[in-house]
Amino acid sequence: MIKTEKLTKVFSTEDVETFALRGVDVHVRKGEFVAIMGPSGCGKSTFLNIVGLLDNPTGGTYSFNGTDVSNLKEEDRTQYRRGNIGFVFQSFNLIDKLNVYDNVELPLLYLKMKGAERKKRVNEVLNRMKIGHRAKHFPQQLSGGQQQRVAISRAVVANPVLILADEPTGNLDTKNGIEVMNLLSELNQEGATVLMVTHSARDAGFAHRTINLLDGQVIRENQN
Amino acid sequence: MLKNYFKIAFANLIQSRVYSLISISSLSIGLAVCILLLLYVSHELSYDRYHEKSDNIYRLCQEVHPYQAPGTAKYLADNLPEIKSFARILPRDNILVKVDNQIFKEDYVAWVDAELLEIFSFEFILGSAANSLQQPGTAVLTEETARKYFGDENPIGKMFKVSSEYDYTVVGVIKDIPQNSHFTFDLFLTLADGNKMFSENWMDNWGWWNFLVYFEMSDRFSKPDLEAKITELMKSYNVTDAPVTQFTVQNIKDIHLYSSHFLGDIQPQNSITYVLIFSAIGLLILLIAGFNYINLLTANATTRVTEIGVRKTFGASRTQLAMQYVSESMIVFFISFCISLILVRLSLPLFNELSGKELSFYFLANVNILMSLLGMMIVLGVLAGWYPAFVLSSYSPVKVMKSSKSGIGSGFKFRKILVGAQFTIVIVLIACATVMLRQISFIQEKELGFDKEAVLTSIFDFGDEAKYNTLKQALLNESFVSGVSVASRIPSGSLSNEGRVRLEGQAEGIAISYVHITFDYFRTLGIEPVQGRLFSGEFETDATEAVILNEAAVKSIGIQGNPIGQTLKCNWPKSDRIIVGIIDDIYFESLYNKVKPVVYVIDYSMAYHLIVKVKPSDLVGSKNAITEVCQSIYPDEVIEFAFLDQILEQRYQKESKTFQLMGFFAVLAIFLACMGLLGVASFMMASRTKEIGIRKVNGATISEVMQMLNISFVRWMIIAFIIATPIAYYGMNKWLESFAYKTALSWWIFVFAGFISLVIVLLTVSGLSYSTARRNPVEALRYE
Repeated sequence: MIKTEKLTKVFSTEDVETFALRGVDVHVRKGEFVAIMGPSGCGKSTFLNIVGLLDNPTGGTYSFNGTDVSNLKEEDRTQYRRGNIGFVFQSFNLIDKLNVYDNVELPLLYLKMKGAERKKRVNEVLNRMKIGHRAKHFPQQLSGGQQQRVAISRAVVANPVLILADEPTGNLDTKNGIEVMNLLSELNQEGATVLMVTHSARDAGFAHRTINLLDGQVIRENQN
Repeated sequence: MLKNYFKIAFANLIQSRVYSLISISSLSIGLAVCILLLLYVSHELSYDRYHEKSDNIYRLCQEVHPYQAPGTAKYLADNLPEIKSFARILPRDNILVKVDNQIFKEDYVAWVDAELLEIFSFEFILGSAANSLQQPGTAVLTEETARKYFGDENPIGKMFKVSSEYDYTVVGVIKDIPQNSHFTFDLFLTLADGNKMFSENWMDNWGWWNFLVYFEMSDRFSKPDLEAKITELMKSYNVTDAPVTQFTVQNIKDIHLYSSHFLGDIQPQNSITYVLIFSAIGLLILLIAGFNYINLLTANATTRVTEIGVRKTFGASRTQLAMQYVSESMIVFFISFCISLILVRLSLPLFNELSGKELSFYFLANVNILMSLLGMMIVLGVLAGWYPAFVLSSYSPVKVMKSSKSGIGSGFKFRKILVGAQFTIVIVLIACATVMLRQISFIQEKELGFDKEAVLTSIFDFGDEAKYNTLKQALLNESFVSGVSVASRIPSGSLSNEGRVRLEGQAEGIAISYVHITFDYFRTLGIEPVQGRLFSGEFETDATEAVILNEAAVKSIGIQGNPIGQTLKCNWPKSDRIIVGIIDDIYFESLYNKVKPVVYVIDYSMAYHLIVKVKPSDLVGSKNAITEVCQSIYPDEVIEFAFLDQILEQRYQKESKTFQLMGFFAVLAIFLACMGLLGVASFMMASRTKEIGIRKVNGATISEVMQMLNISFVRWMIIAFIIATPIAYYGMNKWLESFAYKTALSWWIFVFAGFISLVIVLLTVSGLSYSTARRNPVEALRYE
């Protein structure tokens, strides 16, 4: 599903060029749960952003479901992302001004889904994530664990083939963290491919495979 | 999706209350000003357009006035086939109308040709245009005049007497002439009996330039050709040695706004300059309000980075995001538009008072106006929403999801540019208002060369000279009266009595203004001679053989050496006169025009203005007492006195009112700009909370922090000043060109405008920067 070859990313300022990725080759098959680990600044999030089509690589190739998507324009990347990729962030990134229901509904709006179908899908996913009773609440009225469940609901409501999670438990306590990881595992078992960036060995233990990055390069891969 | 946009838009409006309040209130005020000025400008542009034939109606004009001789219209119509028909108006004021035993003094009377009612579209309530004014002794009244004369009775067939002599029968009643007309009359009397009224050969009086002439032209004609042909045809009626008079024709729709070059039109007209000034002000204020909105929206967007990032991450395209912000902008504009309509309704009476207009709110009820306002609102909403939408939707989701505000920081420069543009406008407005104030004061305080204080004036028929002398004596017997005289013209009036003079020994004479006066005229007005002497009863020949000139006349006639004792050949009355005195160039007409050359001769028969100089102790009491004295000698006259200084003040009322309005709008513009500045400054300071905290931890004092925060605004003010000064200088220089005598355009006016704006900016920003600088740095850092 995901295949990167010699993927590089360089951030340039007037004086300095910073190599965030230096030739990353990664292959993730459909239905896999892969964890990416490494110290701060090793390029984990940059890699995830490129895989998530939020950013383009500077060099190398990236193919998604067999299509080369390395150099797409922003609008095309948006089209690819819609309904195919769900995101979960460390800091949840919920829209404060929208309630739980509206936050979860968001990806479906951009898919131009009909109102009744949207309602059904949102309610289903909220109930599944055990957050249905909080549908009318606003993000600031929820605990961290609840907020992350809302964020996961939003990530999966459009039934994406790929879920990208950037340190999904980073802002949660142990109990809530494990709950979130269980949810991601469940989604993976139901067929979704999951690519997760994490610092936590415990979280990485939920994945089938761990890829270790250092200074923008893959230094090790191991099956869990 | 739309529901989602609305939800977010309203949530944003409510959550960012302060910014919403600033945005909506400044937009509401900006739109209200725009709508008011739109009403004003549309009213000014609507003059005389209600006449069905307005496209084809033209007025004949000479170079400096629109008045013609009685025979001109017919002569031209007979010779020029492109003229379909013509109508003349002989306007008159101070006309006594007697209805039964009641006497009314009418200022808006016109003797007209019957064709006037066919060419113009006056709405008949009784009678008809086709059957009115053809017969001698017939009249058409306006509705209000008919009611004034005859109450609720049917006025058709009723009679009244004009100037105690001529009987007229009412044959029609028309609706009052609309306010958007270049003339206003209450009575139309037929010119069909001109022979009886004036003289048998009145049509041959080619020097009697008192008639307004209107032509109904055929659909196709060349204006320059027509003007050339008229000028050529009229040469035969030019006084032999006078320069050729250039004739022009003016479409009726242009009369109101393009006649300011005339000395004395039928009624004071406006100038296109003021319409343009007010249009520009409306636009500038709307720009300020629009900039406020854009500034606050983009600044407020820094608090919406997560939302933007999330929307993009989950599939929002740039177009969708842009659409969202444009819809939000439309909502804000719609709310502001509704509020602005309420503001317009409430402020219209004040605006009418300031502008001297009678604009109606219900003018907006017109479908076209409403549609154009709505259209304007949509265009503005899209324009104002477009920039923020464009900028915000361009943010990379990767950057914004890092939740760093730095990615949005580039907007600050743009916002400061907009604030700079706003204050450029403010500096221009302050400078223009200051120049206008100085010019108005200059005019009002200018030494005019005669005594305007405590001088009363009135117009009525004084009868023969003996009767006038009785009046004069009776008035002088009053202890508070120090001078009495009558004349054909008094300062404040126009010098439209034009005759000719020729210096003895010269081959050619010149056209010159005549003022026919009586003894004591100069003394009553406090005018002293600069050379020679004034007219005096002690010299019996003064009445028939003496003339007094102003200094401009001496130059204009080309008198060499000492003018006193030289002989002038005059034509009004035809006589040889010796120059006995020279007076200063008094400002007889208006400061718009250069002082004209004038000859003063004694001629009681031409005099119809009475002037009375009183002691200034009890002006109102004196006025009443003088009126009583006059009334006792002339019981049949309607006598009203006015103070000369007040008449002069009225002359510059248009400028005073324009200035008042300018001042009012300048204050509004400053207020709006300050509101926007406050919003932008508060965002700027919020974004620098961490920096300020770090600086304070490292030893910066409150004043140093304030200085740091204020300096960037000062820098923009300096740029605004540099841009604004030449714009204001150019604009005011142009405006002052319309005055012959004007105040100096000093450099300090612009420095003053810049300084005032700087003070306003610093006062606005310093309050905020002080409270930001005072914050506990620990709190600031923790917050960040």
